[in-house]
Amino acid sequence: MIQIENICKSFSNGKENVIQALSDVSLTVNDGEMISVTGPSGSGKSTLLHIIAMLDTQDSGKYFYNGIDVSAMSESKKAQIRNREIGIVLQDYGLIGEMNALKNVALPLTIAGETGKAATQRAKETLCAVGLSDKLKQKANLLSGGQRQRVAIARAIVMNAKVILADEPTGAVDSKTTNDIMDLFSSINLKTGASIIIVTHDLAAAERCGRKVKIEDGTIS
Amino acid sequence: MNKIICTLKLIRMLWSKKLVREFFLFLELSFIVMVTVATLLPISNAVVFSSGIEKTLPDYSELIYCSEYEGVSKGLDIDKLKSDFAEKYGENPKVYMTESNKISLSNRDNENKENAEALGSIYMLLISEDLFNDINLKLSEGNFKKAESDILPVIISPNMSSVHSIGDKIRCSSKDVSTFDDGTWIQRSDLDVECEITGILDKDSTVIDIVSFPSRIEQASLNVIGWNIKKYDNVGYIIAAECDFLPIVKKTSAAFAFDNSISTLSEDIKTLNSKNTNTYGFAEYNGLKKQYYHVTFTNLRWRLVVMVLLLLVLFFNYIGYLIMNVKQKQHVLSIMNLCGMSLWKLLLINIASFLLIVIPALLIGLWLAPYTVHFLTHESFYGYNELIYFAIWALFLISTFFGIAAAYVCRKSSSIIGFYKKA
Repeated sequence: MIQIENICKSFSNGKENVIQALSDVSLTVNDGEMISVTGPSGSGKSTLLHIIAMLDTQDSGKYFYNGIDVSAMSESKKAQIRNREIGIVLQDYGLIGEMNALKNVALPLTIAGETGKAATQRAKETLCAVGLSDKLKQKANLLSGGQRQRVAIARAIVMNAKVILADEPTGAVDSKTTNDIMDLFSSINLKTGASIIIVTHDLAAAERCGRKVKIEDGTIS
Repeated sequence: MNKIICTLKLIRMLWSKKLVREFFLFLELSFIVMVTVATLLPISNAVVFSSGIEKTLPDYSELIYCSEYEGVSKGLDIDKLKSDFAEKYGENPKVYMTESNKISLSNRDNENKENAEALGSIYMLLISEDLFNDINLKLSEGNFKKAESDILPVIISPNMSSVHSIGDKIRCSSKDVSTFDDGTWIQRSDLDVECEITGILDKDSTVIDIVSFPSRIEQASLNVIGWNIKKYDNVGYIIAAECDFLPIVKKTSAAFAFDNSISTLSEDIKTLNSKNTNTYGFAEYNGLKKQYYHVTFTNLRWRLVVMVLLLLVLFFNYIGYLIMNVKQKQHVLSIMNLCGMSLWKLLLINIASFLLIVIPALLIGLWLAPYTVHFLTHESFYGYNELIYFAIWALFLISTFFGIAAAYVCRKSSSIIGFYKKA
């Protein structure tokens, strides 16, 4: 489903300092796989995730999504895939604090042009599926860290995403909540068959995944 | 429909929580529009008036205006002036003259019709033969004729058309005739004529009425050549061409029209004025027009300054709002991008969220502008009630101040999750 071949990515701070974030990275993610990407800080994990999420483009190499070369896609097409097929979960949740949990979860539906009772019901069911049936109308900035992360996961799966990308999803929560969140990811992987790629420092969380990929200094070791 | 609702929902996410900032911006823009219209309306009216004069006057290359000074009361020697100009410029100019007299009216055809004097005052404007032959009067109905019998064909102003119709026969006679001690008169006493209405002036027409300017001729402007019919909508006018039984006798002013251009005209006017000090004053048409615009802008100068300042403040506020909105909403915009909104759609949503404040404010400002102008116009303050004008200005500044203060106080630091797409 996701095939990355010899990806290179560098960043420049404009002062002749060039940081090689990724160097000749290749990775294949099959349907239904749950993969963890580990490595020290600055190793290029998040950069790899951003490229897979089509939020960034590689300097060289190829990225195929469902067999289609992503570099040939327009920005609108990439956004559409991100809306309908890819769900993204971030370390600091990435929620709109002033909106309630239900509206946050319904955001991808709103962007896709779906509204009304059917859309609201779908968002409700997704929130219930992550165990937040009693927090529908609660503002996101009044939820606990674990609850916010659940809302973020619900938003990621509300469109029946085929790929879920999580960037340090347990980085801001305690160990108990980490377990709960990893249980949720496992449950989603089993029930929906979605491929899940989790970038994490947490080795215990990484152990919960079927495959472990380690990145060091921009290369997969 | 779903897409529209979804777009509106996304736009709402970009506005402030309680819409305070947006409300103040809306109010600012509405006020700006009203004040701008109220300020620019005299300029617009001036342009329309000037254009109306030129469309109504016949085609010519040069026009020399001549007026008797106050106290002279001899009347212009039209024949001498005409021959002098002909000798100097090798062309017999056309003579455009008008004479205005207050009249009373009686309707011969139907005595039961409401007397047109309910208008207040009615004037008969006689125009010279040359002017009649060349003028481009705008009529809504009928036509403008010369007398061919002892009945005088006339055209009436639109405010008289509710009482009189084309074909009506009316009798016009002098009213309020009075004389000065030296025997000169304000209204001619011999005016008593049977008329037939042959046409009605258009409500947007300009009337050519060449009147004397008793003061310094350099201060004369386009108002000595004519006026827009809307300016005197509470006064009735009847216009007729002079004829054998009703010639123009009061010749205190005239305009001489030339087909050929005169390269020395400006210098010649100065020479004529220096030679005829305290008797006649001369002016060229372009000079009258320049003076008209000069007076218009001079009267408006402070309002124009205020308007420019307000526009600068508005520009600053709106640009500031856009910048602040984008900065504060980076978080929301980046989440929308994460959830699959393309950058183009993000840009469009941002623009739409801005336009949804601007367009209603513009429409409401434009809708209220005529009422504002009407409210501001007060005769006892020579055109505009300056106090009310500056009260609106003060209200605008106060709301601007509170708008900026509220935006600053309500501003929260947003948790930026960063742009994933690096340039």
